[in-house]
Amino acid sequence: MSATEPRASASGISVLVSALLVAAPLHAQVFTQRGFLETTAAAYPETAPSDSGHIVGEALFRYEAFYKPIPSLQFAGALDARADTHQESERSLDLGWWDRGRQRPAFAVRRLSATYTRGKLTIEAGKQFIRWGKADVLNPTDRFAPRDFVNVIDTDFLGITAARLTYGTQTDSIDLVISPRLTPSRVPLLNQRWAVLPPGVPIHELAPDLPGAPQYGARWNHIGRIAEYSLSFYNGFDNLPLFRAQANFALLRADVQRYYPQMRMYGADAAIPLGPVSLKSEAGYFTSTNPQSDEYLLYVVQLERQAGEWSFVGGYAGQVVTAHGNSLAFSPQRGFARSFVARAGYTIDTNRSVALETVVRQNGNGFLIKPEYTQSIGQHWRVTAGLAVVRGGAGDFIGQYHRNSHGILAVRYSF
Amino acid sequence: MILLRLISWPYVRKHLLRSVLTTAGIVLGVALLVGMQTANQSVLLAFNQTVDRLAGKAQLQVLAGDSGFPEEVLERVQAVPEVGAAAPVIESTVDTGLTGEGKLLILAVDMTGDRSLRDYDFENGDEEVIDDPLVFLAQPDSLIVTREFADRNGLHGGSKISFDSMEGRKQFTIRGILKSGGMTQAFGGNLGIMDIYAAQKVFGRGRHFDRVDIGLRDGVSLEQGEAALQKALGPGLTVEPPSGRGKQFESLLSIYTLSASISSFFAILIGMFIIYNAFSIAVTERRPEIGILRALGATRGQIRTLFLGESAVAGLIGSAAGVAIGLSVARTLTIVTGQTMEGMFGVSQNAREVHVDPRFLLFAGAIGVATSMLAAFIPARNAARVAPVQALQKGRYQVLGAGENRVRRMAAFIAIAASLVCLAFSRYRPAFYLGFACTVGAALLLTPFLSLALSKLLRFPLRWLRPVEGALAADSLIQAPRRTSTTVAALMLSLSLVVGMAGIARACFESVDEWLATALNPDLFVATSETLAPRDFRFPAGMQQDLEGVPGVAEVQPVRTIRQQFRGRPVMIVGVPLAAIARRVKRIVIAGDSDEMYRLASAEKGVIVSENLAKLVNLHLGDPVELTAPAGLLRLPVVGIIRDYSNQQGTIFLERSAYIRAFQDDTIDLFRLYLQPGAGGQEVRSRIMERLGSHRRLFVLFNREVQEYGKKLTASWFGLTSIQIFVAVMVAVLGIVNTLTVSISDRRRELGVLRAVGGLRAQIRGTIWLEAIAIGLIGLTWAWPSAPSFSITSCNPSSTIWPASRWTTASPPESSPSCCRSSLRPPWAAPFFPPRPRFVVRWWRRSNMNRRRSSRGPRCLLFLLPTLMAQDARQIVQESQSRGRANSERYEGVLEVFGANNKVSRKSWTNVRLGSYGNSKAIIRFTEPAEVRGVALLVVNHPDRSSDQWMWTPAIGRDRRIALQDRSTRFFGTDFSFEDLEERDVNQYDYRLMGEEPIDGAACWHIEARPRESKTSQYTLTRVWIRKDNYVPAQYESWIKDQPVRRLHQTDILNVQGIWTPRTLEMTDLRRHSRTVLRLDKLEYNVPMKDGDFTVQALRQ
Repeated sequence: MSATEPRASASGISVLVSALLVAAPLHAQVFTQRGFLETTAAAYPETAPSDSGHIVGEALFRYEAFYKPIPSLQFAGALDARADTHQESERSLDLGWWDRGRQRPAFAVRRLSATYTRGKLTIEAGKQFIRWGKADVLNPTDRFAPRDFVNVIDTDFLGITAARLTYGTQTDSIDLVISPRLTPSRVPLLNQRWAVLPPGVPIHELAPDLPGAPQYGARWNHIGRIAEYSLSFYNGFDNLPLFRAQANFALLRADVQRYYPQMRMYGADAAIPLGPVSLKSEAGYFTSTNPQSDEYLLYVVQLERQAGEWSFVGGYAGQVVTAHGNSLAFSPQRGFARSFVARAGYTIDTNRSVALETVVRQNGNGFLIKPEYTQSIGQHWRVTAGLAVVRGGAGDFIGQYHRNSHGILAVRYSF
Repeated sequence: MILLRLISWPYVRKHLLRSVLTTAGIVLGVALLVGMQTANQSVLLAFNQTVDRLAGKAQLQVLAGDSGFPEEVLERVQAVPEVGAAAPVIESTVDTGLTGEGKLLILAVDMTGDRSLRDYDFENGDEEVIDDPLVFLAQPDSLIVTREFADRNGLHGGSKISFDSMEGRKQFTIRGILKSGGMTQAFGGNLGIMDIYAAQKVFGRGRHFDRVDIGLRDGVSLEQGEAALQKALGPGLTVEPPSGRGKQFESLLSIYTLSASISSFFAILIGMFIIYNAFSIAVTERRPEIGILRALGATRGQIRTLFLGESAVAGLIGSAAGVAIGLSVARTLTIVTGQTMEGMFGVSQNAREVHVDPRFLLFAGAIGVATSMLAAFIPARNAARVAPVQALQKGRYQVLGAGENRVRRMAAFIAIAASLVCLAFSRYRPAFYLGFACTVGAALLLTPFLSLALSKLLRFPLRWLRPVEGALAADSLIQAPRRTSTTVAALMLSLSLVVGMAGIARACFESVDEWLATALNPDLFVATSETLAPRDFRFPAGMQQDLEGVPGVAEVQPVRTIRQQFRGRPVMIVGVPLAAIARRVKRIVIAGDSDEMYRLASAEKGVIVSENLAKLVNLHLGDPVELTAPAGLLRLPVVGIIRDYSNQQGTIFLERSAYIRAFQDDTIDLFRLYLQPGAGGQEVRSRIMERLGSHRRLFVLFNREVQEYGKKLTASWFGLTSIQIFVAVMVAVLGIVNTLTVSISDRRRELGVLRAVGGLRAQIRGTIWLEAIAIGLIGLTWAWPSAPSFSITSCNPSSTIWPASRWTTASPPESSPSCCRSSLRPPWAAPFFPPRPRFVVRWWRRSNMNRRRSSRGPRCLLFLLPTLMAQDARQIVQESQSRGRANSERYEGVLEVFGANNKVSRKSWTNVRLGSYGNSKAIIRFTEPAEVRGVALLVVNHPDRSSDQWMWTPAIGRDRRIALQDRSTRFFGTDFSFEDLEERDVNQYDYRLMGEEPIDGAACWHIEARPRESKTSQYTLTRVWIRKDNYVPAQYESWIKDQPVRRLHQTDILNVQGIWTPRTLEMTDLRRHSRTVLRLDKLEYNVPMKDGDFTVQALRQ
């Protein structure tokens, strides 16, 4: 655990939990809750240079509660409890809040926010999820949505601590967001297979250089008769890190430190229903005051069709780099650029569905295929079985994970 | 009395059915009279009570019509020495949206000075708030309500209620509750009090008051005070006691009352003929009895008294039943009348109680008894004149003397001449009534002569048709001329009424249609209310520029309308830019030069008046029109007379600048918008709502919406005609049944002889049927030419009988020929000329259905059938939707999905919807199973295109727009597709009636609906079965190409808040062999909701 990460006290958990649970009987009509317990087993046929394990088991318990004391005010809270076989989660019982740690916290406040609505104005403050953008395959403008990239191809969103003010009519809305400090995306653990390191060089990770300044952004969205579109602006820090690497000849190792450069984004997105298909597009232009950072345009154009039980999404994600920095970077978002991305889904019946997701590099140096089958059993159980096949060259962002093809089995109990 | 018991009662018992039928006419007439008059009086009383209770200690009021007047007038009033207290007032009605509460009357007063005129008796604890007016004034959202209103709605101090203001819907906080008693009874207890200066803003009054209530100093008489105030304020402002407002309302209501009175009069008149007929026959039948009585020493007077006593008892029973029925329907009629008055004149009242006037009930009863006795007088006199010997002879007794007929004919011609003379002076109401009576009288006097002639004429075709039965039927009619002629008279009156009414209705519809098409031709209307009639809210003058700045708008014409007394009538004054109107609207000019009148009027050198006003108050070109206005007396000559149906009592068109100067009022009720070529109405409407709708109460209406509303109002007014026609038809049927019953009993011996000589039962039946047909034909033949005379008399404009509203008007004299033309069409044809009142539509629909099945129907209808059926199917679907229409809806649904192998999965959701077909928004939020809990779908329906849909997925914290083609996708794995969850807007489909077919044992119309090209639908067609009993769709079957793919079966139909609602919906996917059952629970309609609850932002909450 990083020394910079603040911790909520253990009593915080009990206060939160008791607040949520006590509210239920008192105000049943305005209290809702949901949750699940999911266990996942991933089997990797191949070992990786930094990871000899074949099986990784994880368990996640998530509890979410919503309480509305009056119609205009809502409190939302969510807790995560995790355990795994591979040290991906911390073994401490402390309650995580800021999500700045290297590993996933064993207990974390996933969400704790208050939302106040008055007329067209909505204010939400606390730990929350803020999602921008309209595309599905990649969201360049989704700047307030850091992710957990411990497993690079199977990610989850992280909540951020922020205040969000939305003023919206039927056709227009303006979103103003300010977050006092950055919640970084969680990157792969260096001692595990999703961190592909140069062979033969011992790597030592130093405490990350996390920014303390706030970040803010604004987004205007318009719902028109023939199209829905928005413009967005973000000023803050990239939630994906650059790396400072320094050879430590005394200890014969390379010291690596994550840091998060300043970032400014000018974005736009649009969704245009065209009859047989829907066109969705999203683009963001990124600049930085940090000379180590690239300046680039990241964009995605996708076509979408849902007909009957089928759904298809296919598009192209590209980038244009206008100024090159010279730092090492970990950026799955950009890593999946210059690719054709497609997703197809079919609902067999009310309990069963299959999906197939593919990412293919435009130069053919790497690809990812993920078929998945989901079966619901009764009202509470769901089983998901899937494969992830990764192939490509070592120099390619996707291809570098070619040893990480795996099968996955997840069982979830929802309540 | 002994004779009644011994002689009459056995006869009545023996002919019970006939006796009941005889009194039925009186029952109907008295019921209609009592019901309508009681309803009208209840509405009037409710209004007067509201006025009286709100007036408090005010002895006088200063008014300036609907326009109000500037605040400065208050100072002038206060400066009059005779004035003790003066308090400004604004009054307005608002819709709180509270279930079951209708409107709330807002009385806005200045709390610092108003308590000297009105007592505010507050609940404990509220006094402090009100005693310190600063506290009340400092909080402009403050509202005081009555204890009754608070109790009914569970409100208390600090509770909030919302209603529309000029700045959109606003919340108001209850800061005081008035104890019951006194003022709190006003408007049925639905009274709210707020600060007058806050009300100016809320209702867009600017710096104007509606009126000033005045209490005079001690010792100053009402006359002195009125004179002093009138002198100080000048002629522009009206000073009158509070009761003056009641008189204005009464004059508006009188039009409705008169119409109701005429219906009652007809019913009673027709009933009179039935009684006359029945007693004439009774006298004939009972001649042996009369002979015996006379032989035993009974005097002529006793015989006459016997029959008059019978008629009095029949009248008494009929009247009592009529009064009872009338009172039982009075409550419903009170509500209908109240709604009609509000819809047409924008005058609100809240008639919660039926006011029964015992004196009127006695009067109605007396009319019933008197009518009955009057009808029986001649038969009774004839009975008394019968000599005992003659009475005991057997044979036929009905002979019409030649002299009798001659006298009748002479009298008829005199009556016709008198009717024509009266027509010339029909602007005087007595002359109108006299003329009407003469017309009826002439028709009745000629009836015996004509019915005898027609009976003889009919003998030939009847004999040709059926030699034996036809001859017997015709002879029966010829040999009983009194029986025949009285029945024919009753039938003639009834059918004349039906034909005349249908003609008048159609003529008025045609006139209103024509006027709507020419006068109301803007592309869009921007109004402060959906119905255009209420004028509680007003736009500021500056809004015109805002509208002109909206892209796509070519021209904006502001309109301000007020109602003001002019020569004793509440006329409508319309302030408009006349030159601009003239450029866009080509009105029918009755007098004056079209260009010149608009030029002079727009230069403020004259006014243009409507034709009906000119007729009503005898105005001609050049005559001066004097209007009292806050700035003084406005005197301008009439420069033109045009056809206009804006107001039944007449309209005066005034240049807007002149109006503003005279009435010191620059507010606006309505904007007429013309669009630039190529500009889309929907887009412009959206832009207006975006720019102005967010901070201002406004409604943007398409031309077709306004036209439809106008037609609907006209149809609503003619709802009364339906009652008249119903009564007329009922009485006609009663007359025929009565006559035939008597005829059979009369001819018992003859019929027995026929049977004895080998006559078949079928032949006897045929004889009776032919007799009935012959009577019907004679009645119809006579009614046909009589109908125009009814129409001419009834259509007279000065009678003010016929429609009255901002949209309909008295049929002008020029439309009388139209009435006549319409009347000359057969009654069955009248409903085929659209538009029609709803009752006609229903009748036609049903008769059309029956006709479809009958191969004997007129052949010409076969050619019309496809068109008629298409129209009919659409009307059925429209009716179905209109019955299920609710402003909002909320329910909890449970979905059970059964797969092919019968596995079940279960999902629950909550659904909220605001708005109705074509313009609604809905949010569906899943509650079960846990995995999808919180997933929500927002559906925004549009009348002219497919809906927009967004889905909120809480697991990824994301709202996502669902594309058009997604609508064929199954809704979360159920058998409903997204499209199935959308509302089906009638205008998006073409319909065809396929026939009738029962579903679940209930008779249903089977209708095919095909989406129009503009509609993107996965289905080629949808078949719907609509139940005939409650118009609920029992089943939908959706087809793709030639294969049925989904079937939605709706059962468990319950009446929820007046709406028949299926609570179990079973959708079967016929291709997958799976089905989904949706059960609705906790269903509520018209739940208060806001637009803001249906945004993408709200989806996340």
